Amino acid sequence: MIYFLPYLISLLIGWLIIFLLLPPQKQTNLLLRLSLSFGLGLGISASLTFYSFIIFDKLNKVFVLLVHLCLLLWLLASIYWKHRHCENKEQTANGKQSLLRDCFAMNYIGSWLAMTRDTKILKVLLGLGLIAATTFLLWTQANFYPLGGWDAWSVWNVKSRFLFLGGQQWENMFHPILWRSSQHYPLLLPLINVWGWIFSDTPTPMIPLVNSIIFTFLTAALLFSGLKTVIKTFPALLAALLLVSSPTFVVYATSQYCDIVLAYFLLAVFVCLTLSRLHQTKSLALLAGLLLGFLSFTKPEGTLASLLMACLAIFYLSDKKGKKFLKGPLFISLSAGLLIGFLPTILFHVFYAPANQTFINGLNSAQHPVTMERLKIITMYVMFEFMSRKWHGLWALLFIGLLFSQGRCWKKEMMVLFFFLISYAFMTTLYYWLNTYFEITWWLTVTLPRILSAVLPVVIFWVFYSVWGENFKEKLD
Amino acid sequence: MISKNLKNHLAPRLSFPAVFAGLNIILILVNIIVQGKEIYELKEKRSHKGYHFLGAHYAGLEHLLKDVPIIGYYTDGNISEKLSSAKFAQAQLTLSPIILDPDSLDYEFIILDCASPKKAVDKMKEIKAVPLVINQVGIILAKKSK
Repeated sequence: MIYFLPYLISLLIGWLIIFLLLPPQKQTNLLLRLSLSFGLGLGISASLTFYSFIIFDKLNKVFVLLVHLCLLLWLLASIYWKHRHCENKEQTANGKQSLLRDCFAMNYIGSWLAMTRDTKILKVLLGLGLIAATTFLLWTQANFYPLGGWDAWSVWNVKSRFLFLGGQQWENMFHPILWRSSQHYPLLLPLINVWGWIFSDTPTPMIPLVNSIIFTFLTAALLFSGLKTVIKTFPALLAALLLVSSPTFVVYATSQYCDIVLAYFLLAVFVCLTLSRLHQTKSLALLAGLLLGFLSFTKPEGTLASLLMACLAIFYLSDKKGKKFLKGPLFISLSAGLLIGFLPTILFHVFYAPANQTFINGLNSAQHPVTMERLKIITMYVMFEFMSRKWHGLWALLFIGLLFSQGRCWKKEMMVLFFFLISYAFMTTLYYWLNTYFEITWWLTVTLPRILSAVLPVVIFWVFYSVWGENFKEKLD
Repeated sequence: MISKNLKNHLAPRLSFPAVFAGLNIILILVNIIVQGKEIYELKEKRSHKGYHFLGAHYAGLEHLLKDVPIIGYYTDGNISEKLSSAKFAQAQLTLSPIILDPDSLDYEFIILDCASPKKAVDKMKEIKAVPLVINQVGIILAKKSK
């Protein structure tokens, strides 16, 4: 039970922040709130754990727990005071009761129970059955390799152990001898693992395994619930099933790599930006900024994705009525979120991250120069990967979906996704081409499927939103 | 009126979203079957030969290396090959936060992972080290004599 306490604390913190930012009447469903809350809470817990290393130069468990406790108390007090200010005197007579009801999702749970009474029991059983089947599938796949895949041992879990057991020598993990562990990579996943071990004396391998399952589950839940706010329930459910049924995606997601964390935060950013634009909601823009910060702390691809998205978000959230966006409330909220969310990444890169030892600039290198042949191999390999049997035609199906969307995928609501994917693909290709440290075929074999699995949830979101997106206006009305 | 009726008659019964949903359902079913088959095969394989983590060979050595930041790592295998590389990575995971240096033996403590005891003994003689511990799978923790 003690192992699950950090998760409960993170979920509660995330839930309260989302409650504070988005009052229950805003158009978000219970599952969307839960899936956003949990990821947000884990991101915050990881950041707070990182501040322990900055302030004390080691993991100070008491500090980490105290900061969490203070944050929890502050959030509860803020909600209480906000509630008191909002209610008039008559309503405050039963304020405590309604606050509890609102804050801890009693309304949602009540309406869900009422709904289950009205709808056929078969639907409820189907929903519960799907959750049980997904949990069983993820648990089984994850337990085939309880210590994870290659990068789990050589990168993420090694860093987690250095952070947890290293004491004041934790910075040894940046030693040049450990170049195989990509010391320049950001630390969000290792810090989430450390937070999971906070009540324990030993770094049990169960926590990284559970984290991989949680993030896979959250990604599927977020895909379903995020799409459900803009399209009908059935296609949203299909999207989530398409994701978790993909054997390749599930294997990568449960391998304890950081790619599933990246996939989750990337999707969360898109969901928040989309909803923020639809409803012109400042709080969702703030949340998108925070999540962009956590995305940047996942791994270098996440940093690249977050920078690209931050730039695109400025145009995406611009006011339809022609007001100057840079002075608008959405921009200010987004910037505030970015400032808080990016802080750990900035501190990491300024004070700790060593240079990338696995980088040779092919433009300046006589021994390992860039060649057109390398570019050709990259382009061909990407094409083959899309058609690879391991995806069972998933990417072809998504391409068909784009054709079936009858041009809706190019509309402004979706354009940001298209521009993001194009610019992300361009930058990634450029990096593959310029960095001639690795033999390109081996490098692509090892990393490209992971990059694709990390963007898969976002691409599914884009395609399904485009195909069924005409429905969203009805939903809003 | 006639053209409207004709248009209604000729209008496709299946919309693009419906066709796309159908294709999705097919792919989901295919994926479920493939994944189920893979899980079954892996379970069968595991029932004959359980999960084996090579890093477990090094477990316990960390108790003898308290406050030692870096040690040497020697293998007579080729560390750029997949199996030796995996073994080294898993050893590093098991023993972290101790750093294993596979490129240098200029440390007080060295782990030797050799195919035969003779090779390990020869290497220890060469670097003037004495064995501290030899575990059940033949991994040796050696200390250099000053």
